[in-house]
Amino acid sequence: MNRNTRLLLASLLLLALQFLASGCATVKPYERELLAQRIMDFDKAKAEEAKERHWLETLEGSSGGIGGSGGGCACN
Amino acid sequence: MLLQLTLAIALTLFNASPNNQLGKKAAEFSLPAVNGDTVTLQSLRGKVVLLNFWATWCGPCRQELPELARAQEKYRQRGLAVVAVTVDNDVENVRSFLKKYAIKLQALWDKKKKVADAYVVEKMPSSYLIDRNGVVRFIHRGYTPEEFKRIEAEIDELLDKP
Repeated sequence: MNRNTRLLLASLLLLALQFLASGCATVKPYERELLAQRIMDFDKAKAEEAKERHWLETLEGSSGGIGGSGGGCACN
Repeated sequence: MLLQLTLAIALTLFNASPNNQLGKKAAEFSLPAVNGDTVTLQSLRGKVVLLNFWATWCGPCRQELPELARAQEKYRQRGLAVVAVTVDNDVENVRSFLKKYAIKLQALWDKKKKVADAYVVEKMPSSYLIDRNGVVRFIHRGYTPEEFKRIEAEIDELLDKP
């Protein structure tokens, strides 16, 4: 690797660092009102999602067989 | 790896805010109360002030508020002023919250969060105990019932001093 290539790589690294640094932001504890909202939580609907998963698995699990006993009501 | 390390060090350095307010004059402020009046720290000189930063969206703050109201009642005669500074964006949320839970506290609204900035609030809730001469004597971050017992002991100690 010659000197020019090394220089170019170093410049690119610096540039990348600058871009990355611009993405860093500190949110102060008293500025977290929006972040504290339920909609910001990835797991906000745990119970609902579990119910939906159960409903889907029951339906899908019972489909495909011939002479099966119905489509599954997902009521268990 | 090196990049991550550099960024981590840089962030730590930029975020470091050594809290050197203990033993120093508390930063003056003038804030509107949730009920409309304006309150200044200066007007509370001669009292022991428990300055608390809270918000309706902060769980531990909501747990602590009844304790603050209780402390206010308990120590009012001896000269304690509990000042609950909210950093909510919408003051209507604060009004309805205080009404719903019947919390009787002097609640001020730090709309632009300048007072929170001045006191370097590092955690929610945060409490600053200011003595009768306007000097910050104790700082507490976060809320636990045990922590609040310590705050009460410190209030007691400060109220005994001239």
